[in-house]
Amino acid sequence: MIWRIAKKEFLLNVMTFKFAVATVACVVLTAVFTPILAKDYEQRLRTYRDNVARNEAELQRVKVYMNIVPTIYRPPSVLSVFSEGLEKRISDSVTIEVDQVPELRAAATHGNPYQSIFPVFDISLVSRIVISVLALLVAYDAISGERERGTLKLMLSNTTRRHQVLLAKLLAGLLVLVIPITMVFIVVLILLLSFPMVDLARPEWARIGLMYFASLIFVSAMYNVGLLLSCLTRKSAIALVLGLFLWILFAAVVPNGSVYLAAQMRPLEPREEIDGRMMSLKHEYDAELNKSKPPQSDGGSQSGARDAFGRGYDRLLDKTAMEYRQKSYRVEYPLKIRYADKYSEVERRYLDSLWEQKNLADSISRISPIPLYGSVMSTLAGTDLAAFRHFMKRVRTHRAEIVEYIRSETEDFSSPLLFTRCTQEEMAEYEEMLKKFIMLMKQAKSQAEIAALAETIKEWVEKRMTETPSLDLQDCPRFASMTGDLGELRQTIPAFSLLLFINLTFFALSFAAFMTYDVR
Amino acid sequence: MIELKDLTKRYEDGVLALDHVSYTVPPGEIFCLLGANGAGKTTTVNILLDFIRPTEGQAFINGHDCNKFPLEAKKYVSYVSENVQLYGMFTARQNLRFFAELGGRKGLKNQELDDVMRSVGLPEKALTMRLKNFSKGMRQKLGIAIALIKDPLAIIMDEPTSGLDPKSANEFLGQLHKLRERDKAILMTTHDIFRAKQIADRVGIMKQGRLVAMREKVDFKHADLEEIYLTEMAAAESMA
Repeated sequence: MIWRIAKKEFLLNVMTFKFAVATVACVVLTAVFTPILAKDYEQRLRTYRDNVARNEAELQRVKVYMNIVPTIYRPPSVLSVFSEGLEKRISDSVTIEVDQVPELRAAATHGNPYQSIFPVFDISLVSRIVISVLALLVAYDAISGERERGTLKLMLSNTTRRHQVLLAKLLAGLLVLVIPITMVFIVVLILLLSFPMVDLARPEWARIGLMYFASLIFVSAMYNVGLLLSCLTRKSAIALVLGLFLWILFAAVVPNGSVYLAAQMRPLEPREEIDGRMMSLKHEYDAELNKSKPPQSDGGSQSGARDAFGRGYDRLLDKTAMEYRQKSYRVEYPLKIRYADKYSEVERRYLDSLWEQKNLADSISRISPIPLYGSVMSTLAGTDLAAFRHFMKRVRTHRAEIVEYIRSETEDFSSPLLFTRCTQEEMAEYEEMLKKFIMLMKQAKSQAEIAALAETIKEWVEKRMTETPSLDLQDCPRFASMTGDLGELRQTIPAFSLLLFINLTFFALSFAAFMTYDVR
Repeated sequence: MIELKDLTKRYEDGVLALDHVSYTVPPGEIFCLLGANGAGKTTTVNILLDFIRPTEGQAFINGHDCNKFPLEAKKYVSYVSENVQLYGMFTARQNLRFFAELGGRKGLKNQELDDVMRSVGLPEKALTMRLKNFSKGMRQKLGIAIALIKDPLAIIMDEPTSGLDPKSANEFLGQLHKLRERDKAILMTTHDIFRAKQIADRVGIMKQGRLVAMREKVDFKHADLEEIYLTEMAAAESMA
């Protein structure tokens, strides 16, 4: 009996104009926007690969340990085509520095400028807007429409039970809505896989499968909302108006209202106060540094030698300069590391309260299935804030490894290799040359003689600068990019459960309403 | 057989829609319930189909209590309602097949469905036509076909001729004759005294939930049923 009614309902729905329009709209939007998003992904992937290669090449050229300042890049998520999330709104690169602990920051605008002008319809947005409206349009007259047509009485004048009618309606509604969702997923996959740089590994396929499942549960929830309204009203027009009102509430009012409410309930410390605290820490650092640093001493050095990552270093030093720097860095580096942690603590406290506020807003917005589904999709696509926090956490761990590596390789920042490649012999020779030069100047020798010596020194320095080998950084820690860890998908379990709960609740309410529905 | 025993219905708002109504419609009889709006005709139908529960009394179809064992009772009854629209996007045949299956007639061939539709006077071209293109009369005929295809013992009709043009109404009465010949117990509610006189074997006159009069065919065959109706209504009013 259920199947018979469901079949009728399914056929009637797929023959409607609204179904045709919504399905065509879904396919057209997907077909138009997927290539744009995929092309953008390819461009970002290319940039990412270039950056990673350049970074590694730079690392191979490093001459002194203090210049190990690699930049870590976050690989673009191929699944951003399904849900763009924060992919382009948060910076995907961070430089590892001894005096700074990396934190999340907003991205500078880059990528396809077209996308910042027009809204981009990723799969998540297509489902949230078009398919969710279709779900309401399919459901609003499921019961009240049958009553108006007189067919509900006719159906129930047979041996049909009410729960059979309702279950059939649910089944048919889901079967109808599976069509546009499946078509959207098929179209996006066909288009996506036609891009040569797109390579979907097993974890990505698993995530896409879960996204498909989430989309089904989401539209089912929206259908159940419509079904409840249909069971609560005697006129389908009223159910439609209420449905559209609820949709606006779910899609616009709840997400924006939850952000406002969260900001009121958990206000952030003003940014000026954070900046003020940072400034006073900086003053504290300067004071401590001045106190513990050895007194400035005159010494000779040959700066301007070019190193990797756009940095320079002192290639040759005399004994005074060498000793001064050694003493100075031995004090300065641990202080820098300690203060980096202090700055980070201040910044992190602010970011943590921001994160808590965001979590509160998310929790409030979960009363609506639309933002709830959006958050599931961005988590599955790896484009949500949690994914970026996870990335940043790994970057911080990597920074700690790099700092530890430099510390161990430079004997607690006291080795000359931290800042120079000048050997003892070179230092003595350099000093000798400088002395000879000064003496020549004092003796007021001929300009030609002085120039000849200057030329000799210059040649000698240039030879050392060009012939300096790079450090052997084979054992320097490298940042391993994430490889689609499925473990983090556990985060989606509560949201999935909530979507299922919304389904069950609305269906149970529909059931209760329909059992006492006046079919007359 | 349709049987009502002391059937009473008082709605939540206190309105007494049926007041101890009892009668029986045996097989092969057309029983017409006459009465003004709010007399309790449709309430009777709704109780028989278990759409609402009686406050007191019982209603039976083929001996099965309509409210205690509704699914049993519904096996033996078909319903023709006023102004049923059915599914406009389906053809007449699709509509008929769907309701036939709900009525337990599975696996019917197109030929069998078409025969039933022809028997109620639907033109040949209408059989595969979408219902959105049907006139009201054609829809009503399909409604009767839906009732017939179940081949029930009893048929309940709620204002079936309402809104039909005279030709369609006449054709409809022809169908009722055929059903009576097939021994169906038919309960029909109507405002239409003229049609009731033409077709009914018995009429019941209702006023404010009470069955104020019952007349056999012999009582009104040669008399003016409208006059009887008005007289009974006036008598009921003066008694109240």
